[in-house]
Amino acid sequence: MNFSSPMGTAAVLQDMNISVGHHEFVSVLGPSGCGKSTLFNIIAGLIEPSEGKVMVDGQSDSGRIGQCGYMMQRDLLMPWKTVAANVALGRIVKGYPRSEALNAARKILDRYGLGEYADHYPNQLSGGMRQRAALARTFLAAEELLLLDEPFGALDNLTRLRMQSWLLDVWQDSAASILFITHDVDEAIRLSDRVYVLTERPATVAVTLEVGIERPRPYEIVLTPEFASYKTEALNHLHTGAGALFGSEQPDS
Amino acid sequence: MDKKLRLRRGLSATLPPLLFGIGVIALWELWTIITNSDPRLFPPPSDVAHAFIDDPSLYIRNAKTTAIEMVLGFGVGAVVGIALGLLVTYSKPLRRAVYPWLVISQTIPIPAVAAVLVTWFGFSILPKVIVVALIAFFPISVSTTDGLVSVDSQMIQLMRTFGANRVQIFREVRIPHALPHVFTGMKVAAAFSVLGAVFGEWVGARGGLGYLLLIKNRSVNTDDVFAIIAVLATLGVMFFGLITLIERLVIPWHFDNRVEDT
Repeated sequence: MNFSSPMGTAAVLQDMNISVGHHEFVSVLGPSGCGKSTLFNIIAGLIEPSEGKVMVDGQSDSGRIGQCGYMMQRDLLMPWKTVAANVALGRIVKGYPRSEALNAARKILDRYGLGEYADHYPNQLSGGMRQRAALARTFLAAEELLLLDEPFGALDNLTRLRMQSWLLDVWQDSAASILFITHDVDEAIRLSDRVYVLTERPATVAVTLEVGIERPRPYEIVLTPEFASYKTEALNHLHTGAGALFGSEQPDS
Repeated sequence: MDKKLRLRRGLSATLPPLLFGIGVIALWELWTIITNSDPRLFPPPSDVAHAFIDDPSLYIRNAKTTAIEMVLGFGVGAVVGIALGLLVTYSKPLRRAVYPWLVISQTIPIPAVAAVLVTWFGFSILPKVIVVALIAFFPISVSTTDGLVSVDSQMIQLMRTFGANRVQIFREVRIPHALPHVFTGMKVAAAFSVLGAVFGEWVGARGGLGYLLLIKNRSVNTDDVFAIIAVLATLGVMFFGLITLIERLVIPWHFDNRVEDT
């Protein structure tokens, strides 16, 4: 699919063709500002592509809004809602009875190790806990396809590694398919079944890496030669893309 | 532990202003003694206290009148202010038509309006309530508008990914986001409503602290005047405190302290 900015001047996405299968973990890896978030906004149904289409379950779906769980870079937990109410928000909006949605939220918070914080306000949580709560909210809103847009981007490195392991656990226990945006090469390879490496704007797929590394993948996996070979290939493509790694950086839209 | 901490925090918040106030009053008392000043011009605080103690019911009765004017006027101002804030946010034509007039309304000297109101409605409570409302609605409408407009656009996007409609976005995001702003406007309005009530009484009243102030000032009972000022200030602080208390009850999340990381 293609997407040009509403101003019509610059193409943001070009000939973008990606797919996510059932219970797959797929990453989109690209330089910052290349239009990854635009891609997600299109898939989530917030904006329509200029050309092309998004197919969900094999059918073109213009009423797809509300069907995928979308987690943005910031946790966007609402400070006026308790953690449980935040997590239940997607279901409440979709018309579930409030008490039922809250019960489901408490259950998932228990599973995520946040049970005792269900009645706290988000500003009482640490960064990692907030991200987990945001992910719980995303899961509860739509269990089939999750769009995660650099969910760990704002976390410190250690927390980030821990969150990756935790995300893999959570995902493996679920039936969800995950499409994950990152500009961290290690993160993309460690987490994914498949990595789409994107070029600078207009973004297009430079290379598709099928990551065959066996799961489970502890964080030491990044030290293996197998991992290094994937990483080398990804970096090569990031370097040879249209603008190269330090080419024309643009603010994300 | 928690209780002790809270007590210490409370003390550290109230002690400095209390000490400062006592210090100023003591200096004032000292000054009047040293300079041997005329108590009709500059009464010592002890005289002011005496004035109050001599006949507290006079002050309390009139304070009641003024307080009722303040609360009613504030209530009307809050309702009008919030309604205007909503209208101005949600209707573009209305915003264009009304917003400049909101600002212009604040350039009109309130005492002039108060005088006309007395000609229309006589010495009843109505002109005072209207004057207070005129002063109170403005900060509330401006802060309501600010609060409704300044919502994090990504939170609205998030709501849209859930498939939320405008009403849901309004209920779950815009209103709660706007509430702290609305309360800020209400606190400003509460402090100013004392001013409104006094203005309203000055142009024509049969009771109230503003009315009493005029009488005592004319007869140069300066100690009484200071006592009235003190009662007025207390009234304003109490009203401000009341709004702050309500604020804490309505939007507790706004005040919750961060808990240590685990």
